Amino acid sequence: MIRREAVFSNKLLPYLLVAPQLILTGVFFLWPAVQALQQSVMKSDPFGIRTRFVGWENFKALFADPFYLGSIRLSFLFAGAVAFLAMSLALFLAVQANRQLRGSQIYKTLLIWPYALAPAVSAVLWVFLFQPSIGVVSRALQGLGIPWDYHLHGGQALLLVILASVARQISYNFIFFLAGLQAVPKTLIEAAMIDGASSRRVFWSVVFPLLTPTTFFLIVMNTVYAFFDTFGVIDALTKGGPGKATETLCYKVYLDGFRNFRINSSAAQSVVLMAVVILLTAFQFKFLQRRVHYEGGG
Amino acid sequence: MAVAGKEMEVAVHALRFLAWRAFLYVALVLTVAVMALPFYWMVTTSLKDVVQALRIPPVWIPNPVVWNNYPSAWGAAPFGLYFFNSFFIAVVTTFLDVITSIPAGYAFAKMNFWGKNVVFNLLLGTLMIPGQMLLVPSFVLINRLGWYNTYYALIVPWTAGVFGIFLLRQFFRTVPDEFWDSARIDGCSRFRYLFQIAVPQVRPGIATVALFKFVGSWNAFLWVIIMTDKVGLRTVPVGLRYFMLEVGTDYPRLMAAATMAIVPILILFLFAQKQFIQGIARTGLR
Repeated sequence: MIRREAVFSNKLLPYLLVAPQLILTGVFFLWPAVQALQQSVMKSDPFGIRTRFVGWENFKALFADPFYLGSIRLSFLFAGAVAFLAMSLALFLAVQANRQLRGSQIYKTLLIWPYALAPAVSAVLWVFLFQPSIGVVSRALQGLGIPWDYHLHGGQALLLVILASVARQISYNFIFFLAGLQAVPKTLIEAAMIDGASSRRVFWSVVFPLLTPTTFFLIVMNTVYAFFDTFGVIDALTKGGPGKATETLCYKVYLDGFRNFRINSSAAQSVVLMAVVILLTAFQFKFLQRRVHYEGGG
Repeated sequence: MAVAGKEMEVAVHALRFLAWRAFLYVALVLTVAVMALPFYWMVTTSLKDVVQALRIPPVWIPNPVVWNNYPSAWGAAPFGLYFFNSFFIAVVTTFLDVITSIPAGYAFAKMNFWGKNVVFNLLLGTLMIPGQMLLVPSFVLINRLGWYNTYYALIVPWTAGVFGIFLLRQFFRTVPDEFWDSARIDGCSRFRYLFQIAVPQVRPGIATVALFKFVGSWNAFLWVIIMTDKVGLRTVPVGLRYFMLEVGTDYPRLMAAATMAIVPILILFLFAQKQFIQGIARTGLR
């Protein structure tokens, strides 16, 4: 009798243990996601009273809209620039930090901690530095004869948003590159040195190839970051403007959903975004097996 | 002659080495300077008066040092309330997330049950849902629950998350099965074993999960401005943004407020830097 009770509770127990998080995730992740999918194939009248099924129509309209196509191009340009700059700078910094220089611990702390900062808060600092009439950097640029005003020039606005996004992502990339570098066996480098390779040669033909898994992983993560996590930066600095110069896909989803009240178009856009994430994740899984070497000890 | 040539070569080599070292130090100092400039400018501006803050050429060291911007900023907007909200929301969210993720992480690591893999993959699949996709439906959901403009809207949805389950599952896997075997023989229930024996062994994992949840909740911005519009529910990042719109050109006061907004996260980071780095490196999650 007692024994049977124990067996019964053992069968039920795992479900009880998993239930709270499962319910929370179901209600606050899965249900809204299903709703978004549903909205993307529906059309509501302006008052939201009647909705009807329209199939692919929202998607067709989206890909016929030159503004949306422009936003796609902009997002890829933006993501490419952010990923490239944030990764190459972080790699350079990580290589320097990996040498046992004096003060490298302070240096690491200084590099990593901005990552903990709220994007909405650090954006306030960027506004303050680059604000056309009073920002200290703007005035320095104007002093050099550069007509800096990112409220007027789309190219400058895009550049500023790219720089602000890069500054934040450097910390993240730095952590991974440093971990990757520390996993490179010292003996390998010494052997190459003994063979007479210059330190630059050693880096590009021995160290960098060993970082390939980290690099691939970071390409995916940086692209995901540039596509989805730059809302706070764009909202604080440019609000997508001037014109549509910094209106990336993720900012457009928000604008259409909450400012222009084009719910169905916004839903279709978010489904496109999900497709992007799934593609990126699939790409990452292809290379996932190859990044186990520094994950040991888990 | 040959010996002199050799000495020469060594000297040149040493010189080049020194030059390279010097270059590295300069490069490092420069990058750190660029990374640190916004923060330096923030703190020094917060210690200037308005005239100093706008002077050309820029004033690098405040003179005289003006402390008054801090009490003045604190009094100009309800920052005490913003800080209370941020702390309250972040602490409760973190607690609820940890307390629900521990049993789930344990079950996925150490127990066998029907449908385990399907459920786990379903949970991992939620990582592929972009946050932007959930905004409109979540807004509708929060309204239907009657949670618009309540703490519930800022707390409950944030307690759901795969990060904690995933990380704790990894940690629970390292706890040897023999512990449970001997505890069971001593008549210990699974539940008691979990909280009295297994949990203390995965403390670093719990610390990492808690840290990330806390920082994530503290930094939330878009969610807060969409799910609430009451002054009484503003958090620090949201309050700071409104303050930025309200103060106009009183930059010293704005920077004093920004400095105050950053301090709690800076302190937390300095104490928990190791967990922070491990958390990022171990899971690759953002």
